Amino acid sequence: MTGLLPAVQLYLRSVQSAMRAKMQYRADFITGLLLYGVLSATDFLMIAAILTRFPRLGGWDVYEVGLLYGMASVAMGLYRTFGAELHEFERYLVRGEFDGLLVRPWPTLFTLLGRNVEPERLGNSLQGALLVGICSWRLWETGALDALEVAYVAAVSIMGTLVPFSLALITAAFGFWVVRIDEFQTFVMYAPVAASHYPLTVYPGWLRALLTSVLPVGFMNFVPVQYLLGKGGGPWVLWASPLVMVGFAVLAYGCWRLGERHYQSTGT
Amino acid sequence: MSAIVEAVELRKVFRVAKDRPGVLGALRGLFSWEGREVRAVDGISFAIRRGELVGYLGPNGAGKSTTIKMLAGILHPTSGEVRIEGRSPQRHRQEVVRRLGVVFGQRTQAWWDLPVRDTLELLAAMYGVKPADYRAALKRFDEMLEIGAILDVPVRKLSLGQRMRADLVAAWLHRPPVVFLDEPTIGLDAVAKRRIREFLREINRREGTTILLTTHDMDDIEELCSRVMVINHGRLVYDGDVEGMRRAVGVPSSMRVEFAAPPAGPLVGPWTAAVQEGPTVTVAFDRSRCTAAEVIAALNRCGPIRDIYMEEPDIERVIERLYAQAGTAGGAAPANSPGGVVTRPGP
Repeated sequence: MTGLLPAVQLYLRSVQSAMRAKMQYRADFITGLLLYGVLSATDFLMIAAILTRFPRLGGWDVYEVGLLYGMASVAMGLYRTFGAELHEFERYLVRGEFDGLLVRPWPTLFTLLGRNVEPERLGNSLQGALLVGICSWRLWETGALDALEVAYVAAVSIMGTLVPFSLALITAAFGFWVVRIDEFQTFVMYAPVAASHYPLTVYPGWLRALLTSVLPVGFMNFVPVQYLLGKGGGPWVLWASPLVMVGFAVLAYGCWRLGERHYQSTGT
Repeated sequence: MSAIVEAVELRKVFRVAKDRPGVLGALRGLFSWEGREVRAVDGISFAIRRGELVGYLGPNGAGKSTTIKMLAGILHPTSGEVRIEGRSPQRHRQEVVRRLGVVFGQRTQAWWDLPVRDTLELLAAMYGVKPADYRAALKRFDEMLEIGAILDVPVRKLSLGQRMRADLVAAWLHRPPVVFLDEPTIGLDAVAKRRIREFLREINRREGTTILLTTHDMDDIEELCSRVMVINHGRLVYDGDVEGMRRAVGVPSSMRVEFAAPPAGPLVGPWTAAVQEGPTVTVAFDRSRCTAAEVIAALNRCGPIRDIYMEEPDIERVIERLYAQAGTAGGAAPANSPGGVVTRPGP
């Protein structure tokens, strides 16, 4: 029962069940879809408004900042869509539902992620992709980026989802000891991801250091884009950034595995 | 190697911390620790042979669920070891649980909003059950549990008894050699209970599944289990058959005897009390001190006997006494040795 193909089949099957279960409450689902659509649109208008008020932000123009914002949105939207159950992990700890994952003959994280996806969250990614599209087209027109670099930006946008995923995984792993993690998640994930919407150079040095080390959101957009736009860093950041993200994900999974062994379940 | 489930000096100590709310509280909890230690399971050992059907008894909070969770690989023991078919469910979790079935009576593992069939199909995929085997299993379980009628009903619309039937099918779908059941009859009515017992007895006999079940229901024990383990305060206070448990506790058995004529002489025998009403004599005796045969022999010397009625001690009272003894003796009563159990006058 190991191997990639059976795993993919099982994942799809599991997700399919989850979707069918969700369709039992169709009205809820449609309302959710509309709600996220409206929220995304409002979000988008807000940024547009802010960016037109401050045409330059720390030496970055509207399109350059828009690129950062878009990349972060793509990454975060993918995480909220496919990491939905990880985002709700506190429930598994509080109610002891993690028991049910441990008795299945697959890695717990795999079983967990297959239990839910939230396609309505993809709206955030689509909005981000639109923003990346508009901004990189403009930057390509002005000659700031070539076609290959635009392709690189697209790839890193998607890969960037590893960062919120890993942050959530580390938070969840932390939960095996402290159980309550919802508030902690806000600190570790929302604040850094929100910070990554803007060039890190606008922040004080200590914060910049934090966002490129312990909470490495800088690598999903700012670090590589800064070099591509000729604003700093060396060509090595182009391969180092994906490498850091993969390394961080490996580290996060290690934390998860360690935490799993400390799971205390709940009394009856 | 005939033991299929083994626990060796199994111990689980929970550190119950004082609940400190918020991020700061959680962070503080990382560096300093206040609270107390709870020994949920305190050094228990046992071995279950292939095909045994074992009842696991104990009052609430005695450590039953904690034991089951360690056996199933959910919790890691503080010390000691579990072996299922020779392998540790902690170190080889995925391999071990593939050959394991687990049922929690208090909560279902099924998709709440979907028909039973969806959960079963997903589980079949998860355990790599081949389509032909899956169909055969459904047919078999329809005969045993009449699952066919509820296959297309969403789980949330099932009665408790129906849901337990669905959970049993889910646990047995991949034909595990070992199944753990935590309170499988809890909250069920008499009919549903009987049906589940019938299923367990049948599947244990037909497929030779090794079953360990926790329960509060004495009928489960009397009707199903060839062996009982009793846990109290995290320690095993008894491990043996049901009959032996009665003997071990020394709850008085009683025997009512009808003589052909009222016995004239004094009633002398190994009993602890005797009450005479005309030709009928009721004697109480302690099974840990003498056998029923010895009592009959002594009664026979008092006059010719017409009829004998045995009155066995109620198992519920036996268990109560076991718990009480273990409580006062600090769990010192050695399992499987009747002589070690302190006998006291009945309540």
